[in-house]
This record gives sequence, structure tokens and C-alpha cells, in this order.
Amino acid sequence: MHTTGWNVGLQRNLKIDVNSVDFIDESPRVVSVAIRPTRIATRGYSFRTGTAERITWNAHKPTSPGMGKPASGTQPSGDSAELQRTSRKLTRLKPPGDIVKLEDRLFYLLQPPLETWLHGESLQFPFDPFPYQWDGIAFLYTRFAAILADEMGLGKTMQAISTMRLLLRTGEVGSILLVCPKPLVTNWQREFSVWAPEIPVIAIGGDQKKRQWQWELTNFPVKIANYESLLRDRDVVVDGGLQFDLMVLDEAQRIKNRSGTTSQTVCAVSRRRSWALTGTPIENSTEDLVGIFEFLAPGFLNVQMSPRKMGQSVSDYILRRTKDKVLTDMPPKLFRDADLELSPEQRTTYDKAESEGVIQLTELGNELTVQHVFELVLRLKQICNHDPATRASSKLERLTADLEEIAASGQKAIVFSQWVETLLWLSAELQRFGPLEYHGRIPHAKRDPILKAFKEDPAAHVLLMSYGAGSVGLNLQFCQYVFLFDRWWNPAVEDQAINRAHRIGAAGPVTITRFISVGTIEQRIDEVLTSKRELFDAVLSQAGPPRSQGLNEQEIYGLFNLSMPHRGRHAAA
Amino acid sequence: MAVQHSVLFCGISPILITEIVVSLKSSSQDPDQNTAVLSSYRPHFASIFQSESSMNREGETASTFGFVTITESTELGYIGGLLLLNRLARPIEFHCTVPVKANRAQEILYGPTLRSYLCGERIGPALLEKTKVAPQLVFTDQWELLDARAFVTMPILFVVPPPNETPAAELAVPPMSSSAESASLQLELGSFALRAHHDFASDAEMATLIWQQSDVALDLREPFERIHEAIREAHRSAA
Repeated sequence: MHTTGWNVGLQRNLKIDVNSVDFIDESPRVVSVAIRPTRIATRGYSFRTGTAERITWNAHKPTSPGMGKPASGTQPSGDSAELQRTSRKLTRLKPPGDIVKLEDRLFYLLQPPLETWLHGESLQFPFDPFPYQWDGIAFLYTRFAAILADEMGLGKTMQAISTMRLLLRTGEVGSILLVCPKPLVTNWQREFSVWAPEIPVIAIGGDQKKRQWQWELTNFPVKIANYESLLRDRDVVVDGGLQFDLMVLDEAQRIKNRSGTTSQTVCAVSRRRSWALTGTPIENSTEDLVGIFEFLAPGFLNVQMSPRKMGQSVSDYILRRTKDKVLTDMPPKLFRDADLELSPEQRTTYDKAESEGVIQLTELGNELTVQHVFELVLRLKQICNHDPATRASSKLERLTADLEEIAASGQKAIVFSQWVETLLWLSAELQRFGPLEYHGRIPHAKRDPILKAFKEDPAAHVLLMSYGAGSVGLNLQFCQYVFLFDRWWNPAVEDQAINRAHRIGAAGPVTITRFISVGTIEQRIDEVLTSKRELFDAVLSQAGPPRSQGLNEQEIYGLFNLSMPHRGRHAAA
Repeated sequence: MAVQHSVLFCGISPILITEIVVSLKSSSQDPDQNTAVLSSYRPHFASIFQSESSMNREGETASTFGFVTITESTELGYIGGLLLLNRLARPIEFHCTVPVKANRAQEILYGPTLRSYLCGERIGPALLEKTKVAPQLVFTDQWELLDARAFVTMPILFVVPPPNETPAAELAVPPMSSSAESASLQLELGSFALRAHHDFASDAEMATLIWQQSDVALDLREPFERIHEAIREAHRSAA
């Protein structure tokens, strides 16, 4: 079976060869990336929360309306979220430029919108302030030195009182001294009762003993003094060491003369914050502004500064708005300067009167007074209205032509003059327009019926008004045409007159026609006033024109190229 | 007496006032220099107020609310801000972080969870632990900051933006983070809709109770505007 010898082969052991293979025994390399927790560095600031909740004064209801819109559903519900949902832009505090510490800047930035401040305190504003008034409050609140220079009628008083109220209620200030001209003391008291009825206010007055007692009272956070009483009580206020957290000057142009006793006394009062309220921080020159800044920040301005440099320096300290800028929902004022040539008769009379008048003034030499110059100016202005001999008047011709058009369209016009005689003459000349008169010779009892007739009688197209009688407290916004038959010395008075027609609620654009006789004293006065407006604009570039820049004594002499015989400058109008 | 009390209360002595007046009067005519003089004498609100905050710590805690948010920019990264308000919405404390920017490794490793990590786990807790006065409730307008709730003891609530200010997609699909996905506990305080962290179910109930007892009417969105403005101001100041 096994002849082949295979059996022998099967019995032999198998030969096994083993080959070993060495594996690499090193561990794989691991690269670890450490994920350290991100370190967070923080900065923290703590703030005083105010003492509003701890201050309690007896609140009482306001008794009379003030500047502002009627409150629209502003019951003190305390729901500040409701305000946020309204479309109105809320007002936030912004730190002024001269606050450099970050902590102090954050303190203002982190305050809630002003509109919410009195919510939750069962207090409210009696009327909704206009947005620009909120801006004014925010401006004053953060400033230790400030001028609120709004145009007359925009509510400087309301803005100042509301800011004082907020400062008092948040505990930022505890004692306020308000200084104003004597006739305005009662007005300030009344405004406080409207806008801050819970704040105790005392007006300094009476005999010396009483005044001293009043000055030392501590339970009245607001003291109101007039400039004269402050001068009288200097020994109590200044020498006695009274200190105030805030001092407010109304009609602050009263301290423009730095060397005057008023300025020196006011500046000597110890205080932390200083505010000035004035519609005319510059009446005659930039020196006026330097004077006011001696109260706000002594040495900050000097008279050598150019108007441009001064304007840049003070821009963060002054807030000025005009009606044209902020009351944008009001119809526009359209000014027309009617430059009229005198009639030949007027020109003859005028030239003669001026040449003779100047000769007479020159002959007076050192006895010449500003009163003499005034008399000549007034006489020449009257001739510009009409020639006394012939009654010729280029102004009347123009006025008649314009009134024809106004009456034909069923409109009404107000004509202003500074002289009652001129108004009486116009009344006779304008009979076909149904003229009504409103001036100083009209008894007070008859004035309201005249205004009523002007409003309601379709045949009465023109109201003849004197500047003095028609400048305060009248609302004639249904009237769209105003004529300034002759010009007042002071643009502020003209503006008041114009604003009888151009005010909140005006029916439409108001056209104001200013009559100026070319080549006469009227044109020279206008040029002086215009140059003052330009100076004002150069310093207060964000503001409108000045509203109360009358001519000073030197400028009145200058109208006839006369030199001043006496030293001193006084505002003449 | 009232005047002296007031001046002392604000931390400025009458002597310092006198020095200010004397210094200003004797200062030069250089307007810039005088500006500096004025500024240097301004009361330092922070230091003055700090003492009062400490003094009233317990009282303030009873009616203190926190608002925390994040400002983000590609240049600086994340900056957190925390504002504590009293019941009248007045500021009590403000804290902000320095800019926080993730490095490249963090960007890769954290991926889509990076923002949630930085905001919710780092910045939020860092801010909240710095407060001197513990707020009763903390509100945020950032989803990611709800994650900070795990690190602090006070409720944190997300203030839901009004529908017209938020893209519908954003509300429907929250950012990819655990907190966002779980932040489904809804509640209302006044007229504001809020959400609480899902892991802290009692927060919604507690917040409602605190809100009712506090008798406050805070606007829960407005304070975030203040924080953003304050962060901008701080950044400008540091620049």
C-alpha cells in the first residue's frame, strides 16, 4: 500500500520556522489645548438714588394755567411704560462737555427719561411741556453754569421752575435763591404755584428785621429776592455766609456791567450752581456776555476774545431757541420790508427839519443831552409818517393799496404805530375799511368790546393799535396781516406786537409789513439794529436774532454824527 | 443750617466751596484752563453716592431690579453691561466688562455655542456677582444671558421684544443654545411678555409675586438703551 515510502515521510515531524515581527511600542503623541475660562474684568460705579421719596411737602392743586400744552391723560398712574409706547421721543439727560470724569458722565447718562421722573410719585406736570421745553429742562439739570436764552414767550420761567423742582425732588439741591426784577416777584410766585405747587417758596420782603428772619428760614427751599433787596441785605447774605446750592438770575442782563454794585453783590453770593435767564445775553456788545459769565464762571470769557471765539467757548453753556425753530407746527411769519420813498412834500419838510435840527443840536454844545436828540428823532419820524402841513404820506398810499386787497379777500389787518395821533389820523383816512382803534386813550372798559367787534364784524377790516396797548395779553391769531406803520426803538416790542397775531392757534401764515422811509432817520435806526442782530448771531450762532436790542445813548448821538458830550452809556430803549 | 447740611451731605465742605470761588476768581483769562478748573471741582458723584448706597443697602435691596445686556462689535468683541435700578427707575449701580473677544481656538472649539458660553457663562455671572446690592429680579434682552441663571441666585427673565421689532424667524427659532431651547416658561409682568429659564421653574412664579408686591411700573425695555449708551460713553472715554 505504501510502496512509495510515504509512510516514512508521514512519521517525520514538521519543521516549523517562526519569524517574529517587532511592533512599535511608543504611545501616540497627544497635543493638549488648554481651554482656560475666559477672564472677565469689570468696572463698577455706584450712584446716589436721590431723596425724592424722603422729601415731603404739602402739595396743592394748581390754580391757573401756565405755559405748556394741556395735559393729555396724564393722570399720575405711574405707568412709565405707557409713555415709552407713545410715539413721542423721550428726553434724556446728556452730560455737558465740561464734565470729564466718567463716573459723573455716566450718572447723567443712566438717568431715566425726564418724562418719567415724576411718575410713581403721585405728582405730575400740570400741563404737558413742549418737546423743546423738555430739552431745556435737560439742559439746565446737568449744568452748574448755564444761560437759558430762549426767545421771549417760549417759557423760560416754566423750564427753570420745572428743573428746580426735579433737582429738589431728587435731592440734587436743597436750597435755591432766585433773583429777579422787583415787578416780576409775584409772577414767579404764581408760576411756582402752577409748575411746582408742592415746593415751599418765600419772597424776601418787608422791613430789615423781617427780611433777615426770612433769609435765615430753612424750611423754604426756594427764596425769591429782587435785585434791590439783595443789595440791601448783602451783609446778611454775603457777609453772613449764606450758601445756596443753586442761584438763578432772571433778566440776567442786569449784571452785564461788571463793575456795578449789582454784579459784584450777585457774584459774591456763595453757591454751587449758577444759572442766568435772559432773552438778550447780548444787548449792545459782547461785553454784556462777559459780564454775565463773571457770575457763571469768572474769567471764562474776556473782552479781547473775537465774537467767533467767544461763540465757540460759550456754545455748551447757552441754550437759545426761537419760535420759528421750535414751534414748527405754527404757520410761518412772512416779513416784507416796504422801503418807501418820501413823497415830494414830505421830503422837502424832512430835509429842512433835519438840517435845522442838527444845527440847533450842534449849537447846544456841552448842554446837549440825549433828550434833545430824541426830540429831533421823534419829529423826523413823524414826518416820515406824514407831512404835517400837507398830510401827504407815501406810507398811507401803500397801506391803502394793501388794505384794498386784504378787505377784498375778507381778511383783517392790524396796523401798529407808536403815536396815538397817527392812529387817529389813519382812522379818519381809512374809514372805508371800518377801522377800529385800540390805544391808550381807549378806556379799559371799552377795549374788550372793540376786540370782539374786530373779530366778529365782517366790515371791520383794520385794527389801529399802539405798541404799548397792543403788546401784552392779547390774542388776535385770527388776523393774518400786520403792518408796522412806524418802527419802535426796540425789536422786542415789535415782536410782542407781531406775536399778538402770530401765536399758538394762528389760523395761517402771518404777513408782517415793515414800513421804512429810505434816506431818513428810520433807515439809519434800522441799520444800527440790524448790525446788532448780526453781532448777536455771530456769538450765538445757533440762535435767532436778538429780541431786545435798543439803541444806547452813544448810538443815538451817532444817528446825526454827533459826539457824546458826556461819558457813560445807557440803554435808551 | 439747611444749607450746611445739604453741602455736607454731598460730601463737599464749605471750605472747599470757598477754595473753589477763590481759585476761580484768581484764575487766569485762559478759557481752557478755567474749564479744567471748573471740572476739577465738580463733585464726584460716584464716590459720594457709594457711601449712601452702602448705608442703605438693605433698604435698596427690597426694591432693586437689574438689567443686563451685551453689546457686540466685530472690532471689540462682547461688552457686558449691568444696570441696577430702584423702583423709580433711577440708577443705583452700573457695571460693565472690558471688551471680551474669543481667540481662534475658542472660536473653533466652541463653535456655535461660543456666544452662549461667553455671554451666559462668563460675562453674565461676572457682572452679577459684582453688585453691592442684590437685585430682586434681573431682566435681559439677550437669550444667551438666561444661562447665567445657573450661576446666581436671583431670577433672570428674558424680555420678549414686541412683535414688530423682532423678525418672526428669530422668535420661532431661538439661537442654538440649551437655555434658548428651554426658555419656554412664559409670564407677563404688566404689559411685558417674558420668559424664564426652564430649569428654574419657580422663577416665573417668584417674579410675578415680587412684581406685584413691589408696586412698580418700570419700563422693562428702556433701561437697555441706557446701558448701551453708557457702554458707548465708557468706550469713548477709554479710547
